[in-house]
Amino acid sequence: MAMVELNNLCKVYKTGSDTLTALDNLNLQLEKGDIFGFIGPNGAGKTTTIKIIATLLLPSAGTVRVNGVDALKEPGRARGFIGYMPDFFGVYDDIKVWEYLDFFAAAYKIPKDRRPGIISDVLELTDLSVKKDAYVESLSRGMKQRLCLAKTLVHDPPVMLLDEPASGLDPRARIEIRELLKELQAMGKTILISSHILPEMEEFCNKIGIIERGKMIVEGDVKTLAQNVRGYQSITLTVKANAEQALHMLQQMPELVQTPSICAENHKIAEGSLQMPRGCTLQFQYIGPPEEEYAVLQALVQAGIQVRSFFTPETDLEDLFMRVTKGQVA
Amino acid sequence: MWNNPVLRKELLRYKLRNDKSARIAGLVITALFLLVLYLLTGRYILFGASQSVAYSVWQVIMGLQFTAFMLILPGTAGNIISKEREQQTLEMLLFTPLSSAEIIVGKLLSSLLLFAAMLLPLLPINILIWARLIAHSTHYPFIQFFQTYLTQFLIGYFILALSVFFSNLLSRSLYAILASYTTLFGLFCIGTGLLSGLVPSLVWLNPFVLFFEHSLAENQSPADVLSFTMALFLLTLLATVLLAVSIAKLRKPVQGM
Ligand SMILES: Nc1ncnc2c1ncn2[C@@H]1O[C@H](COP(=O)(O)OP(=O)(O)OP(=O)(O)O)[C@@H](O)[C@H]1O
Ligand SMILES: [Mg+2]
Repeated sequence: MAMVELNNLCKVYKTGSDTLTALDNLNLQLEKGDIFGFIGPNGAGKTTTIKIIATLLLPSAGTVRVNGVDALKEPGRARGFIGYMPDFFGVYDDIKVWEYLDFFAAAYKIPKDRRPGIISDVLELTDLSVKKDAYVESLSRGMKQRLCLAKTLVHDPPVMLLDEPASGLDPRARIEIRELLKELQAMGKTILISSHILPEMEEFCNKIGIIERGKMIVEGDVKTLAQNVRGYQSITLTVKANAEQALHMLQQMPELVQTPSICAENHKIAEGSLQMPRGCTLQFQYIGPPEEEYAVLQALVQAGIQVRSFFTPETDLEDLFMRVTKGQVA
Repeated sequence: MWNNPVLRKELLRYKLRNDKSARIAGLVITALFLLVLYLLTGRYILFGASQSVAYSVWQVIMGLQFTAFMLILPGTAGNIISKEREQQTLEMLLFTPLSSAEIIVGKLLSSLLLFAAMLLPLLPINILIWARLIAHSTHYPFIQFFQTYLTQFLIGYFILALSVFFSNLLSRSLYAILASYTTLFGLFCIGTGLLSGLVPSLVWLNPFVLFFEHSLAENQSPADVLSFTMALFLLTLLATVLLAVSIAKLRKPVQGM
């Protein structure tokens, strides 16, 4: 059963005599454990979608199901399955961190004797244990963001809706949020996260959707998407020797490979990994059938070329984003 | 009632913070003020002056206290919900399983308790005056002591409910507070006076008339008791209706936005 299911969702805003179609027949299906990256330019309709799932906004048409519950008919029950972090939010800053969490735990009718355990668990998870007795006011912005995340976790919701949880944070705080999201992922939660910071999304999202002017333009697994959109998959190859021969071979496979070349600079596979010596790294674009790029590797190996690595570098989501969106706003 | 999370949260927020010196300074100032008041008036009222002077002093104290509350209360409660909206905490509050009634009632109770606490400092002097009054004659009905407090409390409830209503209805604290003051003074104090030419009994809806003309009056005319009781009942009923409307509307604007 899908944890989140949107069918033909539409939202029309009426401001005076103007009408604005913010969502146009949006469909989405998230399974348990999915981490869905919801990407789109400003004004695309991300916040609108998230608010509708969170039952804080009524759609003009369409259906929303959360964990099998019709969110329009039983908003209260649906909310119980959701942890929601708005894009803009405030905190009660004149109380202490644990009092803040205790208030939300009480609001979720968690019995008094179970609350201290839950509070220390969520504080631990969000790395705020040392701030337990501090006033919320004294927290930095990144800490407040984590406190808000801690608050959304007190009732252990299976679905999390996070509207730009890392916006306005410095790189370090963003990494902390990212680590936290990985932990939530490991706990098996279904997470929908909207963000503008694209490189971060591809690292832990197993699905992404790109929305523009209220329409889901593309949706699916990051790598497959990239190939579908671009029509090719870039591959980096390192050989022990005979780079020239490898290049020649690649040039002989025009139906699978285009623009093969030998990289001029030293190539580093990843941060801290060993450097591949100059002249031993090749790059090409694979244009054959999806998921059959091994055929190229097979041919090289059979020809006696000593291949040390063969991999697809991180998909450049930013490039993908620029390709599919037109920069138009609803 | 004590388990209402919203009430508990609001009470926590009243608590003066870390700042010990501010807390001590506040206590010392209050204590000094009361001490001076009690020293100046206490001996004189209790032993010196005549019964009627003591009674007048009581009237002045209660009258001042009542006027002060009329001026203060709309301001203290007028932002109670709009503030949550302004500091962007309302959405998360509405997202919890707390019922709309729990939220509104919790908010109202917290301001009602603050109001009740503000009635306390002058309570002892009023008790002392009445102890003297009833010890020496039967001219002054002891029931009047309770009646003034009850009247004050119910009018306070009305003002707070009115403020909570506007605080929920209008999204800005400033407008909500202005609307509370305007309704209280413009409609219920001045408006009823202007309209009393047409419907004389309307003047009873003026809280000042209720309190000064009846509750504090030395000789309460039996003919007025019915009007007084009716008016007080009406205000209480109106307050309760306003609260019910607030509860019904609390989650509406977000859903229908
Ligand atoms: N309350 C509202 N009344 C009228 N129009 C609205 C309202 N809220 C949003 N919109 C419009 O709906 C469209 C989608 O807005 P939304 O906030 O969902 O975008 P978003 O994808 O979250 O953008 P951002 O990345 O800037 O947060 C925008 O064109 C916006 O102007
Ligand atoms: Mg948004």
